[in-house]
Amino acid sequence: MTGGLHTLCSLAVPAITTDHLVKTYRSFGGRAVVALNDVTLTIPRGEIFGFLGPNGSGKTTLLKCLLNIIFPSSGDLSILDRPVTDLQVRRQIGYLPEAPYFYDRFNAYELLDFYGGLYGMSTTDIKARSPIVLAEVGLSPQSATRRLRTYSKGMLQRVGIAQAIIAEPELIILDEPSTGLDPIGRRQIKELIRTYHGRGHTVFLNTHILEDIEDLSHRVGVIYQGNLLALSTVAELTHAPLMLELRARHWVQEYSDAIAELVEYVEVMADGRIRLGMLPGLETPIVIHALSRAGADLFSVTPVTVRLEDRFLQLLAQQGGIPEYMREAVHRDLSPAQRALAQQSRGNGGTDA
Amino acid sequence: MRPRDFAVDPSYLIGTELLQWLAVIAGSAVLFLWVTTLLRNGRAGWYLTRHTCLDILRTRLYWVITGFALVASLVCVLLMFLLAYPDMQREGISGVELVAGAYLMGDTPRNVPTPDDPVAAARDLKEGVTLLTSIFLQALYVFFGSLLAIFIGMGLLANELERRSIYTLISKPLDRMMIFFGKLGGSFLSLVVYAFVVWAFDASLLAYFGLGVRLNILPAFVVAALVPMILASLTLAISTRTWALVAGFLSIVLMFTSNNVGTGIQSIILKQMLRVPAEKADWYFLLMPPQRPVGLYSVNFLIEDPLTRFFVSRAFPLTNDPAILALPVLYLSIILLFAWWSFRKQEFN
Repeated sequence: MTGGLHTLCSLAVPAITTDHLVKTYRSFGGRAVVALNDVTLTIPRGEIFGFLGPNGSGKTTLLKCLLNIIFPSSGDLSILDRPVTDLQVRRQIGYLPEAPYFYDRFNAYELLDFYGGLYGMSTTDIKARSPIVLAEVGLSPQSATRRLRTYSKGMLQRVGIAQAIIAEPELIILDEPSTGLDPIGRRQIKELIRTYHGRGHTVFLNTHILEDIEDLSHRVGVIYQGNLLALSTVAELTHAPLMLELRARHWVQEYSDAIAELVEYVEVMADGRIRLGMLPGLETPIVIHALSRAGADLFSVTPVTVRLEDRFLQLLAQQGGIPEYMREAVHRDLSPAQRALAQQSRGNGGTDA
Repeated sequence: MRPRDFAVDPSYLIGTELLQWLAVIAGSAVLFLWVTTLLRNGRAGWYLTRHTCLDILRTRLYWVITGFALVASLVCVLLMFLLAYPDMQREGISGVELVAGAYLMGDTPRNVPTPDDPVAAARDLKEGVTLLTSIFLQALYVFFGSLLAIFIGMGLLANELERRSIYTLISKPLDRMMIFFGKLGGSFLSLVVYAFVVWAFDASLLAYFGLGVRLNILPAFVVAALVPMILASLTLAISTRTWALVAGFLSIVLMFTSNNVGTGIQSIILKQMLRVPAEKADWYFLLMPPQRPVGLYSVNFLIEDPLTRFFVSRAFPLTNDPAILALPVLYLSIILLFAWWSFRKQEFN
């Protein structure tokens, strides 16, 4: 094995590294538009990485840089510790584009034969592997013999995923893999991603379906206006002090006083719901017990969890990246103190989208 | 009047040598790029070329244009036969001889024009008609091949860019230039298929008239496919920077106007700037007798000459000069070098 292959196969080598990556476009008027601004990112091998950002935030620009479709203006970019122009590295990349178009005069087997050939696979290997990947993406052998022009959007998406994994590449880059798929298809693709991750593949997942990222990803990157706003695990990103939402027949001030030492804050919402910000380490039954002793007649207690979508929108809201009318809803699940902080930060620098 | 012996004119020799050297240098550069790109990409390059060719061959338009070329060839032969019929009866020439002559003039002792006076020989009915027919057949073959090349070339990369399927292709382990050369190679292969189909049809026509298939015209057909190949390269090169329809339109405009433009430029450079006498200026660097136009589209006439060599080689002595391929090779090389320079650093947004 050559030194180069050693490097490619080493687990210590990160799958993707970007170092102060900048990409600037020139508009027709000669104005510089910064699409990526000083993006530094390391994705270890064997990780499922979710990449989030609103439309036009720079997600696709980063993907294009990774795939050598466009060239960075400055900064460094490597895949498996090699430049992206290296053909040996590109053999280790499988890519599903958003809204893929394939040669529609071919059938799925012929298409896989073509793409397998581009990876340098032998005809025997392609023939052996094609039925396997088609089954993995949920395309029947009968469908696979039909020309692609007769395929539905979902079937094209499946064949697109099949071409991305035909050569079992080390790094699988999926751009909106669930687009056009029915719920069964979505579940199949999620299982497929888990399967390939289980086999040691790295998956770079670029999608607007935050639920998929929340389900699958180990780490998440959030990008907005070319700046990387957050880079952490899903758990870290959605971590928040426990908040309880109560519904009671009546709520009087004595109940709030009864638990004043157990909670950070009590907030009575306009619709009658009561929100309690729990102090760290305090268990829910203790608060419920205190309220019962004070005579509160509770008929629902629900822990409020911060979903990735909430956190994502909150991050954008801090940057002024969402419209005014949505802000209240976005900040709904924050504590009063956090909400005040968010309002303050918006006042200091945020602009309306 | 005896035609001037261009082959021994010193100005002509200097011009052709210069042209040949330029063609060799540019052609070698392109060949070097193509071969090194192929070597770097290995099997992937072949897969792209093969797949491109298969994709083209599955296009309905490809076979529609090829069908038109076949029908036009048949009509051309029948029309000539019809027009020449009264004279044929007078001279006692059979239709079989006429059609055969159209393909094989110069190939059979009976039809060899007199070497000393080819113009007078061409005045002979049989030679005149067969010469005209052969030129028409060649023109039809090249014309439909050129149309085919433009229709093929305009969509090969432009459609990939418009549909953004180029992203998938670039993400694969392929050099950028392999994508260009692979697409170009696939289109060339499909043009060779076109040449083969038209040759097979014309050869079958001869067989139908009881003369059997003459295989020796196949290489000429393949060489004549150089004109469509130049146009395919040109269209492909333009299409890397614009939409498919614009590329096709520009190529068609160039196909029909470049002859005049080229002649004009040549005239300005040679006659006005270099003060070359008019009698020399018309053929100085460009190998052609004065009565033939030059310029980009004159490639058409230049490349027909290998065909003509089979048919009327003794009528125009220059047609035996191997330098005849210099200009088309130069054109092809310049176009491909431009495309290489343009495509290798192109960003796809």
